[in-house]
Amino acid sequence: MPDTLAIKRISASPSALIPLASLRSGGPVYSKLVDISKCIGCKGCEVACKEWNDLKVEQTTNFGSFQSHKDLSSNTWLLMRFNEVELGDGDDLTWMIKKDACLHCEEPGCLFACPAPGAIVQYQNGIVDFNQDNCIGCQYCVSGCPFDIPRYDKETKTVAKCNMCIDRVEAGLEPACVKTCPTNAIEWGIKEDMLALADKKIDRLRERGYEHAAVYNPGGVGGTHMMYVVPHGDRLEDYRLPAHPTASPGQLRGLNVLQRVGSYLLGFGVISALVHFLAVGPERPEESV
Amino acid sequence: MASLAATFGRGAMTNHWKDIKNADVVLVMGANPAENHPCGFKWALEARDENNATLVTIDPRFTRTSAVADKHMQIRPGSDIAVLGGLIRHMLANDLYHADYVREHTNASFLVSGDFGFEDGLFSGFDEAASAYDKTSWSYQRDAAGFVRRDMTLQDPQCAFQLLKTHYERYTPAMVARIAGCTEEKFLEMADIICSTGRADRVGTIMYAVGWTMHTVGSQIIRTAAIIQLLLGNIGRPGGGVNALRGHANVQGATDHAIVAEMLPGYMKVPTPAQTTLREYLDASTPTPLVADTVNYGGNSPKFFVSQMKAWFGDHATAANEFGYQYLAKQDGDATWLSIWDKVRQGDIEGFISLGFNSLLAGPDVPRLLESMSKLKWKVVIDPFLLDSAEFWRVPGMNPAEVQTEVMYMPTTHWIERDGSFTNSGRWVQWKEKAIDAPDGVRSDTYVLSELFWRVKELYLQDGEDAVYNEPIQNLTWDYLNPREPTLTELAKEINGYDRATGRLLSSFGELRDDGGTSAGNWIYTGSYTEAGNMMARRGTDDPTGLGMHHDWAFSWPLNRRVLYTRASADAEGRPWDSTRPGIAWNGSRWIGDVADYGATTPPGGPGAFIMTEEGVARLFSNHLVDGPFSEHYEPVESPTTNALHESVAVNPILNWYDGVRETLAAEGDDFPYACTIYRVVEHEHFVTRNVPLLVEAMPDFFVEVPEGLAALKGIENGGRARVWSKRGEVEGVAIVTKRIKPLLVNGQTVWTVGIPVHWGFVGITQGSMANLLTPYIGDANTRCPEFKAFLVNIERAEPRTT
Amino acid sequence: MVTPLIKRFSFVERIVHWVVGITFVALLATGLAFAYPSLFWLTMFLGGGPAARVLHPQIGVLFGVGILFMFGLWVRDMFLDRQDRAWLGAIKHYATHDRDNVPPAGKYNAGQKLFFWVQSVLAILFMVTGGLLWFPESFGATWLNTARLLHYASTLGGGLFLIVHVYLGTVAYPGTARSMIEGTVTPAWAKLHHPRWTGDRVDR
Repeated sequence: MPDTLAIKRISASPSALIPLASLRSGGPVYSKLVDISKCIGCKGCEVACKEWNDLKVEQTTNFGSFQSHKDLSSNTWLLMRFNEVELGDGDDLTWMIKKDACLHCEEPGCLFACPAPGAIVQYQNGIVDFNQDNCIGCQYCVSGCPFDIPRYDKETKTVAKCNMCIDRVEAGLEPACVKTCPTNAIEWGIKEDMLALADKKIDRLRERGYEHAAVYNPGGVGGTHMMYVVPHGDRLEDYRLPAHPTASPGQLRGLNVLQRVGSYLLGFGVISALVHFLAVGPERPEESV
Repeated sequence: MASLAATFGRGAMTNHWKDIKNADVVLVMGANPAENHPCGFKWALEARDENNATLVTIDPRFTRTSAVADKHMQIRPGSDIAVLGGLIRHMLANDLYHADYVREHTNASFLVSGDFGFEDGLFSGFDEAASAYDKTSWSYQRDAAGFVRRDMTLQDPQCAFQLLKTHYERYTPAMVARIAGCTEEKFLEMADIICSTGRADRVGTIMYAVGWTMHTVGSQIIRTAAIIQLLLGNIGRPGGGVNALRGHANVQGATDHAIVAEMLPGYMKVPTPAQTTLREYLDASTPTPLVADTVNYGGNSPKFFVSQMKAWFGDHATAANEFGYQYLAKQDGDATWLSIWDKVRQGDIEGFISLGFNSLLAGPDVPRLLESMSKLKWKVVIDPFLLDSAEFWRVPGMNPAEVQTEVMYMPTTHWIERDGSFTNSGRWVQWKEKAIDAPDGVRSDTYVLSELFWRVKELYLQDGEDAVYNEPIQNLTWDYLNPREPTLTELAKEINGYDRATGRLLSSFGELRDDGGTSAGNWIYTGSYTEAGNMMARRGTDDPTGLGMHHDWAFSWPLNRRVLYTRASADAEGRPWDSTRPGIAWNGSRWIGDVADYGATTPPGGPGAFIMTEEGVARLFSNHLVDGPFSEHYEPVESPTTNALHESVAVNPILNWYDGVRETLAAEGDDFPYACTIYRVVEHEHFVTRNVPLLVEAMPDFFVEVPEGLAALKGIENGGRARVWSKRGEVEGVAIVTKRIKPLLVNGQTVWTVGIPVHWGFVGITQGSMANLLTPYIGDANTRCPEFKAFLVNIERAEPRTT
Repeated sequence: MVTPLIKRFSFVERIVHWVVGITFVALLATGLAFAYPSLFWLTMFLGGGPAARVLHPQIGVLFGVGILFMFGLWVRDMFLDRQDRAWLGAIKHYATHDRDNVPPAGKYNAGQKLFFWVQSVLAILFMVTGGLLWFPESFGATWLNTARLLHYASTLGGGLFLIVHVYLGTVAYPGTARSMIEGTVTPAWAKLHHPRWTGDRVDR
């Protein structure tokens, strides 16, 4: 039986605060695993992503890099970022090539930040998907995302990002980027299996001298459903991976509290006026002097 | 490829893609498989991660392959032989070679004529006037029976092993560093990794591609690699080999089917005018054994040749007419790329049919090429895309009014629009299905060529008695269901071959006969389409050995053998060198494992492992190349430095210098201080994908890779523009300022290297400079493969475009 | 006998007030819709979520322009004097209608003046943070999230002020609303609320 798309959270709904329980417990929870040490930066995934999701070709220009686009866009959900880094002495050059796309957080900051009901949906299988029909284009999700992933489309006035090829996943297939990766640098499977695989890969990396090799599955967002095996785990910033991402940054937590307090405060204002009215009543000018 | 045949007997990738996963050390040099062979490269990464292999790259640039390698060493373009020669010296000096293997499976023990010598950059027999070697002195000592004399102790100073040792003694780490620009320490670090496989329980592979072949010493670079792998005992073994990575999906197939000018299908030689009879031709092309007990499989050449003639001329090829031998054109001189265009330049060729490639961008020195091409009366371009080569008359800077060439363009199907077969680098012939329909009005290559054939035949008929050379045309077999457009299945069967009496499809070239009883279009493909069906379409995934041989997947020539020279994977007694990775093993009554090189029941101790050589073993010393039995470092024809080994013989002494080429090279006093190399990027497939929007998006513009320090020197900014020019032409593009190319200290001076991608032209949705505007019109001494990889340029900052 | 009415707000003043008032209500409604999923239905009044998202900042601009005019029109009258401070000290008498202990107010009492200044400050906050949120691509997440917090905090202040303003202007003090509708008030109302303005009471 193909995977059903059981919903876990819907933006701007109670489930954003208290996730829905899976009706069929034990359904598959997926994750991609991107092994950066195995990625050759061929951009096959970039192209496959565009082809499968029917994303528009954008006019690019070389800006002094092997990187195709300067940044992600609403039509480029996946971007290979290239970064030349010298570690220590000059001989130790590392060409960091990183697949930049939605990490599909277990606790999705975008969804928490979204004010439009149903514009962002998280499924029990781990996929966080944007539903443009419900998107109001406020871009709060953009600032809610600790990884700077969602991108606004000026034409459609909606925000878009990787949807993990949810249509393929629903049909029991792997996402297009996984399918196309020539070196199997992107693996796909049950998250637990991917974690085990990551451990194995890290052991091998340490053997090869990458003493800081680590899996990137940050707890601040409850873990992610696209994880990375990072050879230089001590140089996360060079990969553009935040060391301590959080689904709810201080300001938004403050906002949450304030909103809850605020609703009472406004209610209190109305009630105070009412009480005042009943207590002292109106003050009418004495018309007949 | 010529040099692999010169060493092992066959000019093909020795192992196959998936086999690379079995290696302990993977050396990538003269190649950038992450960019150019990303799908096959997965097996190198599999070796690295699953087999604990060490993956190292040696290249003028830190490439996307280097990005995932364990170690990378930067060298100067054109210094490969110095580095590889240094490896040979390192393993010999430190006893790192696989002694048993060398004694058993190479000609190390063969005694070489006392006349052989090498001095000051020249081997014995150099004829300065002819610019060639007389190879007489490069021969073995023979005994009374005519067989080679050997010294199994390898101590005789005239044995190949000792000569080899002496020859490479000069390639000390200091010399390597001086020539290549690496440091001695770095070289020794790499050498220790690479030479760690000279043991029975370790095996290493070398992956190379056109980064080696496209040099004036290309064949000899590959020869050096072949020698290294023999010394390390890495040939014939799973996880070993010298693996030639072929560029396009079907380059191996094209090579097998005679794309090389001097070859007939199946690597048989094209007859020469001196061979006036079939007998003479066969005598000249059939080798005689040099040792007593050897298979010398080449002795069967007459069977293959006659069967081929039967495939071509059918009943018109009979014993009485030498099986149509006189129908064949005899090749006088060479017909390589450089020579063809030189003949056009001289006015000897007036028409040109360009099929399946971009004849404007594929060769060096485009300014010179354009001059030649404009002299053509007509040119036909047959291709799925309207290529630059079909519009050469409007190359920027040319005046179309001055070009009188009539150009005809015929759109044909792309391979994606047809079924058929691909032969991959690893000799796997894989049948494929058509993926999409061709656009309306587009016909297949087979239609176009058949139509050409029928119309030519018609013209010959019209000429009647006056027709010159009429018989071969009229007697050519064109026996297809629809003779105007044969199917590829029909062609595949014809290539495989039949028993002509019964019509039965043959299943092995062992069945071929020299009496005209069999036909086979290409003997090495016999067995690919048998009575059991299309073997190339098989998709069985069983892998009982676990070594990735997959004998039920497609067909691998020869005879579905997956690793060539597999006999060498075992010792004299037939025991695999490494029992965890056996190629074949003798179980007392037969060979088990891969398809054995010779009779599955022929016991060990008999013939040598290399059945395609007259020696029965592989050649450390080989007289099959024109420029030396061993390799020698020669500088590129344009070099930023002198030859540190022998200043007087700086470049390969027997290059073919076409008219006027010397004047197009940087001379003393010219200001071309920087080394330049050209290459490909993964986003594009040669010149074709400039028509694919998604790929243009992925890599949009022509660029120039400039090392950081050089960019600073020249005021070039990252993302700005740079102009690069050689003595021949100039290009301009976006500057990618990079840390991935470092300055090198070569022969006491700093050498900078600039990199340029080859994919751009002036037709298609992205347009940019043609890299070959810069490259010199000179080729390898053996193959005439052009020097694309090492030449000199200058560079400056260019102003932003104002479009 | 018809009592002569006193002109309190000119036509221009009233237009400006209602532009600000109506836009603020629209902004508050959509703002609350964006803040509270249970109130998202409020966006329906402006044509649904996407339309509300587009209109909210545009209405905001109108609101800002209104506030600016309002500031220009009234700022002269809005500086607190000594008596105003006394008035503030006696605010609880004002709330309990204990007029005798409320110092006389001029055209605007101290509460109204303070309201004016607070609304001006809030308006600036709205404009700055709203501007940030309008063009989020130009700013980093930290800025935007801070802006969101401040924008909401301003809303809270503005919302509370609106409640007080509407309550006082309508049911609490009958006769007040007409000043913003017809522009006039009755002499009695004026005498009661702004005796210094009418000259019924003078500075002591």
